[in-house]
Amino acid sequence: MNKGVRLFLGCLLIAVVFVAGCAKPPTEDIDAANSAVESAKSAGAEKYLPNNAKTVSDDLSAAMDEVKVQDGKFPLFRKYDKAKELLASAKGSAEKLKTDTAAKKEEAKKNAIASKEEANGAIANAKAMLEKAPKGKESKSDIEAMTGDVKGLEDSLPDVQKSIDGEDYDGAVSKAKSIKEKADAVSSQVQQAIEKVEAAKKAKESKKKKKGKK
Amino acid sequence: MTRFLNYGRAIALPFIILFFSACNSSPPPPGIKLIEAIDFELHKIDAIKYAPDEYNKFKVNLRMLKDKIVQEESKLSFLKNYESIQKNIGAISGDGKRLLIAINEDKSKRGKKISDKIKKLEDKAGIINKLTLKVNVGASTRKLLTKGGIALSEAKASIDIGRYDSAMEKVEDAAALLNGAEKLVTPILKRYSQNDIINKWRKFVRDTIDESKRKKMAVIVVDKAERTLTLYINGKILQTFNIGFGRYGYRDKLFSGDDATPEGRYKIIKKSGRGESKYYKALLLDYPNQEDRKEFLKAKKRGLISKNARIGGLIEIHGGGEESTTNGCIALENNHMDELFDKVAIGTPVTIVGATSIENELYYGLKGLEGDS
Repeated sequence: MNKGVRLFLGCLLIAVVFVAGCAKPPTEDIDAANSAVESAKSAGAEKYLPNNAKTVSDDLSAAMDEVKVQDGKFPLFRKYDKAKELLASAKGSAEKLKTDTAAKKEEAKKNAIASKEEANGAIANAKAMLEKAPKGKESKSDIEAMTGDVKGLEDSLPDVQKSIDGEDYDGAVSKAKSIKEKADAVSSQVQQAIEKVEAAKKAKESKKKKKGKK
Repeated sequence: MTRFLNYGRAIALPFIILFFSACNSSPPPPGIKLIEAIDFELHKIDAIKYAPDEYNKFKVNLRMLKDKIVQEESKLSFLKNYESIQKNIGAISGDGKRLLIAINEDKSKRGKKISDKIKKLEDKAGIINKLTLKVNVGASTRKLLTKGGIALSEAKASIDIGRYDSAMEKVEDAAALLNGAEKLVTPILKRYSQNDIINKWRKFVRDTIDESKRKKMAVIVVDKAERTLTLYINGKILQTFNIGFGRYGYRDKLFSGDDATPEGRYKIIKKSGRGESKYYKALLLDYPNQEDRKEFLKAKKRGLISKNARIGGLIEIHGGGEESTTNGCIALENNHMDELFDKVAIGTPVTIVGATSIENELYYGLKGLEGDS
């Protein structure tokens, strides 16, 4: 076989290899990555881990761009290896995001429930303190005012549960913290009043003792 | 043979060129990474919420740019040309940076505006709080006040995490709750800012002091806004004491059990010394007088009070402490009661008024609320 024929056959072989190896778009990988990203979004990734969700979404978009780059090439030269790699990476990130979102959501829920319980406890404490508050003419109006305050706090507590039920855990924590803060303020005010009365009692007793000595 | 060889070369050459062109892909312009970083920052600051049109335009431009890059990337390397893309990168990143600055400025302005509103509402809540403690308006007002306070705390927490929409919602909730509380407080206090009523009270006081001067006698003037009892002798101030009064003392007494302190001109009709009064010593007033009876009947006729309501009585100036909250009586410290008791007699005039000046604390409280609303 002469040199020219060999060269011709060589080129033909290359062409055959190219045609035979003409890559097909990785539709299964695309579907899998898309589905994983959608699944993470449905789990609430955009709400609980918005920045991670954006990164995953951008990763998928970059992978799809690589698919488009290859789609736009002359069929003989299409190579989807990098696209597949990117799609697999996006899929993996999306799956991790879904898991992380579930954990974050659970943590936020636990936080909200704990905050609600703390607020509840603070209200109960404020009520108990009000029971102990010195009941004199001088404190009657203050106690009435504080009782009104505590009723306002009690009225607001169901809103915390509503926020928890609506999965607005940050909102629930914020409200519960505010309720707790105000209930603690009532307890502290009552404590001060008790201390004031006790100090006045002691002063009166020591005055009596001094008088007795004279 | 040579011709055949040349044909072979001619056929092989394009394959070789194509092969190397396909393998040798030049990287996309690095500026795209910068735009992606800007996009990420825009996402982080909620650009879609704060500048949806501008952000969407930025996103569309970014997408178009990426599509152009994809097109160029698909070409054979010797045909790739990123020149126009490079220009677009400059323009889009410029737009993105400007948008970032604009949104951050807008958010900062919003945050300041909401914080100012919160501050105003906190001031308002502070005034209402003081007024409710003064006038004992009841639990419903305190409930509204407390809920308003909770909403304000939530608004502050929302600002801290950059959730301005949520902060604004909470501010609006707080404003509504505090307005509700204000509506319950102000009617009781309005009398303290009305010139005709203040002038009537001032005339009561003037006439009482004149009487003291004319008849060279002791008179007592009680100023509810100032929470003071002043003893005049021969028209001149001898002593002023701080007082406590009815739980709803800033109101004018209308019927038995309303815990309000009456306003009008009275006289001492009985003096009870130590051991004769539950509250150390006491000076009983001739409440209700003619005017009180008239007002009581008028209120009953108008249906302002229950048909079964009775007019009150037994209004005293007594001891027990100036911090006392009474059922309508006026309370002094016991040692002050000692000082007063000996200087007055049965028949001593006692004039009780809401205020003697328009510049009273309650008037300023109301003014503060008007300024806030």
